Amino acid sequence: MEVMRMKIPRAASLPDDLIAAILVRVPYPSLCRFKCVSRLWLSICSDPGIRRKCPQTLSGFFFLGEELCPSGYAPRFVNASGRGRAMVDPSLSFLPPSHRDMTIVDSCNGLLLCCRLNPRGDVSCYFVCNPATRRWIELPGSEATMNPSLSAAIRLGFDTAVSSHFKVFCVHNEKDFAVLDRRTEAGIYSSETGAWTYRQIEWDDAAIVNGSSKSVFFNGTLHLTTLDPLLSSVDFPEVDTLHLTTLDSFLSSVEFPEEEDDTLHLTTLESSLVTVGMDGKTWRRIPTPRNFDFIGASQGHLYGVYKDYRHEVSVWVLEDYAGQEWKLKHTITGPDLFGDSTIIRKFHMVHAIIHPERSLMFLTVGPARNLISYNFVTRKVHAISTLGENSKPPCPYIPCFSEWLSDGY
Amino acid sequence: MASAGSGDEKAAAAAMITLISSDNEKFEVTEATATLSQTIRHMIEDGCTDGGVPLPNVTSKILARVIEYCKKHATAAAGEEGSSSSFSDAAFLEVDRAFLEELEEFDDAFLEVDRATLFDLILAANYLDIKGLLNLTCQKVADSVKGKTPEQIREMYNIVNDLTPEEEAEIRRETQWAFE
Repeated sequence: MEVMRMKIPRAASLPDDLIAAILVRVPYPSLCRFKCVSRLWLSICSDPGIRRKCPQTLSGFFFLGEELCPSGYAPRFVNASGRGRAMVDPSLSFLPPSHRDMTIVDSCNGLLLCCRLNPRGDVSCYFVCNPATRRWIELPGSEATMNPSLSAAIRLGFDTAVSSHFKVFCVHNEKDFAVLDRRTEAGIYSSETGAWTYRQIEWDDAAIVNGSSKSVFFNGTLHLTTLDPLLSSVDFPEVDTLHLTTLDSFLSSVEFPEEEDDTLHLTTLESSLVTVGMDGKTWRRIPTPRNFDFIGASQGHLYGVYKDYRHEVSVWVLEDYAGQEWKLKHTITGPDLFGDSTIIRKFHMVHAIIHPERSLMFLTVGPARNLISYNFVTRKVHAISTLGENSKPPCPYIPCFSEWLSDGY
Repeated sequence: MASAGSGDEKAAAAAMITLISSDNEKFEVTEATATLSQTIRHMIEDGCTDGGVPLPNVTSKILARVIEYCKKHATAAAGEEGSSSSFSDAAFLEVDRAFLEELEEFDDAFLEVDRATLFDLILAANYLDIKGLLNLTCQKVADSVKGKTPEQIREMYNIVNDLTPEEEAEIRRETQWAFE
């Protein structure tokens, strides 16, 4: 009988592809460090394909949670599954201390757009960071980014399939009162040139874009929700006291409550998305059936999420991007989320995020900001985490390990 | 071919498959357990499992562990029937949370092995093409190496540094940020 010997485990005893299978799972800094291990490891770790082998999907959410620090908030991360360790450094510790007091403004395909706050709590600069590669870059200020009274929507555009460079969009309405609501300007920062360029467009009718517009970067184009000047002034429960004759000129349709379905839908002429391309030259408006509260993209389609005054949530999809026909895909009520026995018919949806690849939607609900997922197909609900009463909205995060800094840096 | 196979599969739901390790030990497992291995699944589809499936690359010690894993996860896989999605999809919602937690505990306990066994499990998972097990074991190794220095890696895995000091210094200069 053969005598058992103590085996010394040797990485060399694994074939190269299995060493690579292990190394695709280490954080990017470790991968870089391991180039020094040996010639074989150098070649494995230097292979640009090593990160691509590992399919990147929605990993989780960055958000700001309450913390005992000057701003009162610190970055946190929660995995989409609700368990396990974060794939990247959740505290963004690679940022210098001066940049830790910040707010996460937007996220896009692996990058985070943040703004640094001065001790008074005002924005002192914007920066973009990649938590996976632990790199960050400060953006030069522009009039619109530094002027809070303009209330610009400042958003990221990044897609490695299109370009290794990112753009930052700063979209706002013209200050000039005469054309207010109708002229939209975009300042676009390019990481390639390191500079801002400005473009504008004049619409036929109002298109209010401001800092609270919801957005999604899809098909190399930034999509923004527009605010409705009328609806934002209507107090829904008292809608029946409004003079509908005056509303008529604003409303394209009013669906009156019926006995069975007492939902009131207001659709105004202004219900639309505004889109602006990477170069700022291509502008478009996409009419929407509802004044969407959130928009997203999944499996090649644009989605809109709308919460009516009864807190019933409807999810719409634009199946043909070139066309303008939105289809109602799903309706979600309190009992869908919390069971038939629940008395909570009105649930308080705070935030909604559409999963980019699966038939899933993530919602934060209730005062404690419970993050849950809802599967459109199985209609099952999965509790992920409690973000905390005063937490900031979660930003979806898909790790990206490609280099994105321009040569100038 | 696929349509003909699906009828057979149902009939053979309780069918047993014999797996034979490199040291000639025989293991009898259900088809549901065995087909977590794509390699064995293809053998079954090709109808060449009569008289047992010889696995000359896997010892009985490792095969016993692999079967333990497959038995546990075959139950989880049954819950995903019909969905073409990957395992991580199932990890979301298809299976109830309590079972997932139990599965997670099982996986954690399963991975409490020495490094040599872990490497053997990786080789077996790769040979048998069991994606979940390969993911799990590779992730375990990745977790154990990720914070380490190149020196510690060489020591842990007995790797000879065949880079010249100049080459190493050059690489370190380029990747300085990763050492901070």
